[in-house]
Amino acid sequence: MSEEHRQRLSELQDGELAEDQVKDLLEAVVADPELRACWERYTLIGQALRGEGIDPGARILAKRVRVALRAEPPILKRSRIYPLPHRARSRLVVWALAASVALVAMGAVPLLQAYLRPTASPPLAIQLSRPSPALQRWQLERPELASKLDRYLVTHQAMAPATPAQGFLPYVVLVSETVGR
Amino acid sequence: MLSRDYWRERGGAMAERHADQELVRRAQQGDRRAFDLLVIKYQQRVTGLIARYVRDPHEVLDVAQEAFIKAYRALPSFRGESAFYTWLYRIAVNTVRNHLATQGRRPPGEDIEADLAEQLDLGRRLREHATPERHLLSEEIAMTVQHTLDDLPDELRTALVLREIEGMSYEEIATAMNCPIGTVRSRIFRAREAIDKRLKALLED
Repeated sequence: MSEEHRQRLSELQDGELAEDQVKDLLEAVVADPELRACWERYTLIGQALRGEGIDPGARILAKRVRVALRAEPPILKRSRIYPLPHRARSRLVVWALAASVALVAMGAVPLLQAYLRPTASPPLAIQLSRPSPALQRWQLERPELASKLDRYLVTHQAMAPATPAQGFLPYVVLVSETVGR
Repeated sequence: MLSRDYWRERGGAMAERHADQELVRRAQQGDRRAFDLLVIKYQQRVTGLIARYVRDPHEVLDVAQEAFIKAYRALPSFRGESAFYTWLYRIAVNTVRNHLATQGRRPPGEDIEADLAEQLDLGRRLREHATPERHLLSEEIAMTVQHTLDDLPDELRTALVLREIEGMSYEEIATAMNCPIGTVRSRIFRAREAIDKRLKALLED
C-alpha cells in the first residue's frame, strides 16, 4: 500500500480525486485489501469526528454484501446517469410545445384561408371531394379487371401484418381513393 | 465532542453528496468495486438506522445486507435527484418495514424523512443494544480519534475539521486558510494518516 494510493483514497473520500485517477485507484483497492481497510478507517474517522455512533459489529457488513453480490447479474449500464437540471428540462418542454404549436399553425392556416376565401373558387372541402381525373390506380388494357384488383388489394391490405394500421384503416384509404372511379 | 448538527448546518451533507457522485456514477455503470466502497462508507449508518427498529444484532445485519442488495439492484433507477444516502435511507426503511410485516411485527408507523433521520442520534440505539465489548470499542474509537485530532498541529487539525465537520471543499479551505489547494490536500491527508495510525493499532488489537 503506497503513500500515493492512500493520499488518493483521502481525496476520493472527499470527492476531490480527479475522475481519470479513480479507475486506477479502484483497481489498486481490489488488489490490496489493506487499501480497502484504509478506506474504512478514513470513513470511521469522519464519523467519529461528527459524533456519529459507531458499531464495531457492523464492520463485517461490507464483506457480506460483497459475497452476496457475486451471485447477482451485472446491472445494466446507462449512458446518461444524471438528468438535466429541472430548469433545463422545463425550457425543453416549453420549446417543444412552442414548436408543436407553430407546426400546427403552419399547416392549419392555409387550409382555413382557403376554406374562408369568398367564391373565387369552390370551397376546399368540395374540391377535395371531387374525383381527380389524374387519379388512376391501375394502368390496364382490360379496365374491367380494375374492380377485381381493388377487391384483392383491399383484402390484402386489411390482413397484411406489416402495417400497424390493421383492419378498418387501410380499407378506408382504399375506398376513399376508389370514390369516383 | 463536535456537534453533528453543526456539521449538517454547515453544508456537510452537500459535500458528502458531491463526494459520492463519482463512486455512484461508476457503480451505476456496473463497477462493483465502486459500490463496495459505498457500502463500506454507509454500513455504519444503515446498520444504526435498522437497529432502531430491530433489536437482534444478527437480524440487523441480515436486514442491512438485504437493503444494500436491493440498492444495488435499483441503482439504474437512481437519478441523482437526491443524495445517495437519502435514496439508500428510503430503501433501508422500506426493507425493514417489509421485514417486520412478514414476521407479523409492527412496522415503523411513519416514514421518517432522511433529513430528520440525519438529526437523530443513531448511536443511542447502538449503545442500548451493543454488547459491553462493542460498546467499549465504540467509545475507544471515538476517544482515539478525538485525542489524536487534539494533538495535531494547528494547520492539520484545522484543515481536517473544515473538511469533515464544516463540509467545505478543498478550494474553500484553501481560501479560508490562505494557502494553495495542493497544501490543503496534503494537510488533510497527513491529518488522516496521523489518526489512522492510532486507529489501525486499536482495531487490530
